[in-house]
Amino acid sequence: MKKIEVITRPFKVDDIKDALTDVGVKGMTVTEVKGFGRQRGHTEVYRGAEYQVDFLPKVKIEVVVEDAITADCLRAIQDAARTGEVGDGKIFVSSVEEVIRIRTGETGDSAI
Amino acid sequence: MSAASLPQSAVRYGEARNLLADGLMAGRLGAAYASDASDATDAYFTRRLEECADLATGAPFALAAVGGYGRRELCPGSDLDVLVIYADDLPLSAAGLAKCLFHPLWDMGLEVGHGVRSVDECLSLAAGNFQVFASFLDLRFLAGDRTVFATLSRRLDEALFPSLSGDFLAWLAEANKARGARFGEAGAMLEPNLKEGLGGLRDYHQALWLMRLAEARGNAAGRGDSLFAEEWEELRDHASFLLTVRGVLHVVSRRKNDKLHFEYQEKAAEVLGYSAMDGALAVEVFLAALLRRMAEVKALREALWPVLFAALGAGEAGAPSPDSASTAGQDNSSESGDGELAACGLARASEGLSFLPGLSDDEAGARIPELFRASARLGVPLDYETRRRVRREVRRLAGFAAGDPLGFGKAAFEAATAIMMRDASDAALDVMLETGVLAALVPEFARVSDLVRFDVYHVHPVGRHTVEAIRRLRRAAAGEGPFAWVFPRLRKPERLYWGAFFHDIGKGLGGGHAEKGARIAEEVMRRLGFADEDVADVVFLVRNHLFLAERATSRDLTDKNALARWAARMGGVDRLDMLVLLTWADSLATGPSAWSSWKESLVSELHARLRTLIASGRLFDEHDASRMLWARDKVRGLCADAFPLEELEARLENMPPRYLVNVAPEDIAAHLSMLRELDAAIAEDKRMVPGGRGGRGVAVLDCKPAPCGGFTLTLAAMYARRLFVTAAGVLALHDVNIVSGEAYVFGDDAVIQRFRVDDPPDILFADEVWARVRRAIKYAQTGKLSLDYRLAEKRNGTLARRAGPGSGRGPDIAVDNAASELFTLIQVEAADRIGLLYDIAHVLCDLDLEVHLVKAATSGDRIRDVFYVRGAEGAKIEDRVRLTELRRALAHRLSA
Repeated sequence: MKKIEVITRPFKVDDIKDALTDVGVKGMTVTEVKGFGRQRGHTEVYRGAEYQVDFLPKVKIEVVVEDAITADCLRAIQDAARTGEVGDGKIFVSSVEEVIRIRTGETGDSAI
Repeated sequence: MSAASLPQSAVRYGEARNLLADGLMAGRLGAAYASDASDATDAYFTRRLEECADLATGAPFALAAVGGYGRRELCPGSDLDVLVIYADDLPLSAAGLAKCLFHPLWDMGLEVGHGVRSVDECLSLAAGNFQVFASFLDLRFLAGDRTVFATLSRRLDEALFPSLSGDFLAWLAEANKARGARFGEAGAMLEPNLKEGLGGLRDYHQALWLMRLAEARGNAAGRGDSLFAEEWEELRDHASFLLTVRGVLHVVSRRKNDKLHFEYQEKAAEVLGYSAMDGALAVEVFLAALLRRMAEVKALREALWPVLFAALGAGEAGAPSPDSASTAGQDNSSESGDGELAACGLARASEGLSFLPGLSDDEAGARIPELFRASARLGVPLDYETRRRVRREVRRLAGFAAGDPLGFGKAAFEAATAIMMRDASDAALDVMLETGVLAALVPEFARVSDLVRFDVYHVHPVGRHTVEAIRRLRRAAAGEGPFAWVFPRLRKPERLYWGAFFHDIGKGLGGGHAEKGARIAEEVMRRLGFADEDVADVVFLVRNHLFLAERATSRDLTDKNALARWAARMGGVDRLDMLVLLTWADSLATGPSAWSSWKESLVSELHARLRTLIASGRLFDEHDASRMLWARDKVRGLCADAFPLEELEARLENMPPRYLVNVAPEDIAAHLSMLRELDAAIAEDKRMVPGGRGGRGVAVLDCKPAPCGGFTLTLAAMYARRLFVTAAGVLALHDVNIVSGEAYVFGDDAVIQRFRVDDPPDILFADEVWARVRRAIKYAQTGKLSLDYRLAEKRNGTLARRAGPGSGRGPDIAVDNAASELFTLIQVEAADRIGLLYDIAHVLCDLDLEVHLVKAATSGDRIRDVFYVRGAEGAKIEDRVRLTELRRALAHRLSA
């Protein structure tokens, strides 16, 4: 199992949700976050020296998926979130040791 | 939840579903699965409701299915959309009932869409959301109180459906535009979406919805007893086929999935019972059938829409069509006489062109060519009834053409030629293809028309591809594309169109389709009584239609002897010009990966060189020796200020002749500055690194955007055996695709390597990529970076490319000592993978071969790399033992 974290533009959430649903993802967690990368927010030059970095509003989408569909999910997210401009965001993938559905006690892939 | 804790109803339902899925995989196919699965689901709800009887007391309610389940069209991965409908306000027990009904389904891992609503809520929701509105058009009773269900359907029929059908139609038209943009035309896709693609199941659903709405208005059009019963039957047949394929796809891919990805296509063909036929793979036979049906579904939906619209009272004027080409030019009012049309037995009305009433079937069959000619000339499509009649009479047309090939047959073919060359509607040829008219005129075309190649390269079946190529030629005639300028110079452009019509007619006969096609084209044209000159030109075009693209992407275009041989093969400027137009049109019609700005620049270069050679009999403006003198003088002029005379002369002296002939003086000047920079960098490195070990791995890298897209990378370094291998590996590691490369070694052991590469992935921050490349080259040359290991790791990464159909074949390796006087050509064709060029270069380096030029061409998921090499002693490799070793080593490395 893999955990996929996507940080991207807020208005892309619906597209990503649809794309992931098409691939077979059944649930996800979405958080509003702030941050900056290469986009660096709006820089302002004051007297040639001072500048300010704004944290830009982004969303973080977290999903945990079976290994078998990880590559499909990553492609789907990329296709849905790409505008080609700076600020499209990043995807982080990490391994997940265990998943447990609290209500039933199911574990592993069937608990996702 | 374990199976033991599921209620009895759910356990039985699970067993039924497993049984059905096994049956599907064992070949018990057909739309029966969909309805059987629905029946099993219905049975679950009936039983479950009995098990939950204590929660179902009190307020009256009904269970109803909507969406696909409502239509009884369940595939293994389909979700179940179910409503619990209460007559009035929801009682407190409603939540408990819903839990009792739906939780076991969730625990079985099914996707359930559910709603618990009163009749009023249902109506207001449907009024505000057309997706809900559409789902109610598929409403079906499951269990519970029939009177509640009857109330809801009566109110839908009486109040909601009639009042909102107009808005719903407009919404559908919009939705279809969005579908087209997102999923594309399914009948023309390599990986079609069976449901949402244009031509997918959704088209059938929409026809169903419109009929349901017409029924609600009390209009008989809905009940299939109307004039389009035949088409309706056809549509239903296609839909049931698509549903079966979708069911198999769900089982094969083990999830809900509508897109027929490559990886599932072979398996699906196997389950569906297709087998190889006439040299085509089973999967190709399957795809041909599927794509043809999807194209027909789209055509049928477009044909049925105006009729259904009319049945709904919306009128045809409002009929939206997702395909603007079919309606283009309709308002082109009748300046060209209707009397003229009548003389040909044709008539025109607002619906389109038709035959004059009262024509016998024979007369209609004979007038089909004229009909299409008029349609193309006026830009008016055929009306729906006439299209149907053409389909019916096409056999008579074939009979006439076969019976009198020199008279009727030739005249009909010439009518088709006129349409190829000028078509105001831009769609007449498509309709001729769909209705079988082209195949009737040239029976040989019928064999290839539906042929599909199972690869990621050819988007269309041959028939569609041919029509597409002809369309491109028309655009070139109108000034589109890089070779449009030669079009007005063609002596007889119709020969080019004929060449395009026949170019793939030899496909599916087991390889060598150009040669086989040339023979078939000759036979057909002789039968139709064409002049010898016409036949010879068309045969030439068909035989050579791959020649320019193939040579341009794999051969050294500065090799004079090779160019002279190719020019002789062309025979004349006119043929060359036709061939370059055909190459361009054929490539663009093949698919998005068959033409690129790089390929365009190579083909243009080859075309220009051959043209000059044929026209003037000379290869270059100057003789080689004087070209070298001229280049030296030019460089002296360019560098006079920057270099002391002595240094400049010394460097010029060191340049190999091939370099002076092939590289532009401006580039040479730039390279000289790089070499100087290199000297300084090496001196600096030696100063910093003690013990005489300094200067290793130092390289200067220059990266410039190329005029036709992509980048030119130039690497200056001191000679090191592995330098070319290192560069190839580092570029692969950074996702930079090499399309060509050349290496020059100077007299003082300095090396200039020039690569033409595609854009790096991060084009916005290309400089950062090149900086990383520069560092990586140094690390790899000084033992800090293992390219073998890094590339292997990259290949195993999560996102490594999915295996396409081309990956099943091993590498094809060919060695050619005849193509060039100075070099041995090694051509490797293999499945695309990360670092393929690196792997090949690695083997060549191991065997002490020097690479002077490399050209890479991609066709789908196969790559063809051609290397021009020489042994370290500077000669071609002609020793058999050595060549065998080379082949074996390459095969070994590439199959690893």
